[in-house]
Amino acid sequence: MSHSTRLHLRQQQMMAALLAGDQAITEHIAGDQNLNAEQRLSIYQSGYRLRLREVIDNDHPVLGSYLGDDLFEQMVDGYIEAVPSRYRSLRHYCDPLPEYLQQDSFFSQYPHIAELAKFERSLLSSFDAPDRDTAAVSSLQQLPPEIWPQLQLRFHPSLQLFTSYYNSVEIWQAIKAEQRPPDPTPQPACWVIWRNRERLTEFRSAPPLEQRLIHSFFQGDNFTTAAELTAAEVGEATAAAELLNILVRWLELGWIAQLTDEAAPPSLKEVE
Amino acid sequence: MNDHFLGFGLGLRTQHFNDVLETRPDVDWFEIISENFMVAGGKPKYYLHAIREHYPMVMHGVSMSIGSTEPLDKEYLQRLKLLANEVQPQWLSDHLCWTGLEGVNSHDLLPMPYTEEAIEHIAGRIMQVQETLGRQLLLENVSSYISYTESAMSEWEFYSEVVERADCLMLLDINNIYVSSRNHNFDAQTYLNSINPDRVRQFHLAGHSDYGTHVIDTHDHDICDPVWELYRQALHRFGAVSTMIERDDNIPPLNQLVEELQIARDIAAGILPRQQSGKPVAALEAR
Repeated sequence: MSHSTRLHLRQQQMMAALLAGDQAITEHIAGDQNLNAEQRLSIYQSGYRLRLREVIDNDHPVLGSYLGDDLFEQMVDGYIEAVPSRYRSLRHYCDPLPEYLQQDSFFSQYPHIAELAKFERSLLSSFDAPDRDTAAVSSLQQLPPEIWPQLQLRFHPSLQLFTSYYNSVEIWQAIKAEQRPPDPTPQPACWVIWRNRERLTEFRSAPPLEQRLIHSFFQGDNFTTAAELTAAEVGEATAAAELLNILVRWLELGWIAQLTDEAAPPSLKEVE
Repeated sequence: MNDHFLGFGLGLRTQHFNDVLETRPDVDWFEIISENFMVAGGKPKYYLHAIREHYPMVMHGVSMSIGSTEPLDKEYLQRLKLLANEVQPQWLSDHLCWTGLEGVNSHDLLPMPYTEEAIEHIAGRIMQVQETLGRQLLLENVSSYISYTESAMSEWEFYSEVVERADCLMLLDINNIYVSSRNHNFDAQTYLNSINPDRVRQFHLAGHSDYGTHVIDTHDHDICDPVWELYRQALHRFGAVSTMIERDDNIPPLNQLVEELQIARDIAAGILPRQQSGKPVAALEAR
């Protein structure tokens, strides 16, 4: 299709009207006694903003409550202006919101806000991540002893490690429980987010050893490496029992899709 | 008799997933918004498959952007095809409009100028889409609030010509005809009378917001009397056409929509010959 056509020009003018308030297209819109061309165009212009505003509101209810009406409107106005949708589905319109909040001159002064937005988006990502059956605890008993050293884990596709540098998750929890959120404060932590067997999104904090083990398995390391990491943390004497405990817990939580000795590349997500 | 008559359906909405599975309402079929299920997994997909086991479905898209002057999004069409393979819908539809340009999506159903240039452009693209999907596409008339000074014909002439030239089918939105007739001051009956019945495969019914000087297609109210009246006229002209109610906002409990659907059934029962207004043909033949 030639981009010099009248149709293309009209579509460019319409997009300019929606995105930037450009009024050039009104010359080509017929008005009547009920509504003039500007009023007719304004129906589309306000509809565009309302639709995107609703998506931000629906996707980020906790962030919205935390910011309060005025700051939420400030964020919505700034985001809609700065970030046109490049997605077919509105499901992804707010994917760049955390990055916008990190870069905006006002919101970047409060970095825990971007982190809160990122946490909410990570919950959404787990919500509709690909389906995969999870391995049962009993699958451990079926493993031949000789493959244990080479054993690798394939996590459920919904499982993510979320690293926070502020108490943003505690703020999220307080808002969700309709309680007064704590003051923002630097508080590095690591969280595991996943979708459970009832298809509900859950999260819990990951203690340092668990965090290191997940990182290690993320990278495709095997059980030999995991055993070394565990021994370094808890000592040789209890390392095997501790590692087995952790593995059983992960299986019970539905985090593991497959136990394998194949060196296939892991497909896992880390959010920082 | 319309061989493709599915009966009376509803739009499948997240809020009703559980109720549909638990109560199995008296709904002949469901229409899904294709884009809402173009996700990898989780609850949406689980409910989609579980509900599909009990109900026929049709797929309705909102972002094909068939009228856009940017190239067709082949990746989107492939994803649509994959979803269709999963869902096995009776048919696929989208809108006679454009939704974005140069990679930016307005997430709105933007009207076309009614010109020969636009007909040629859209008809060619529909044929490409039909070839990719391996099936005929249904195109729906949209509500509009503007008309272009360069339009050389009425909306119904434009719609009819696109559909004939592309050899596709029509999803006639009765509410959209009403909304646009108010906004552009045309006679809705004239619109209906100009449409070729052989092309009409599905009806949409919906509510709107009336602001006096204009009407906005909000899908957040019950269907109003003038739209029911236009539905009667459509049934007289087109006979038994698969009919569904689209509710996208201010969504009431499922049983309330099932009750509203009963109004459509009752109206159809009073107009259509007995064998056309009841259960769908496939269901009758299966007995």
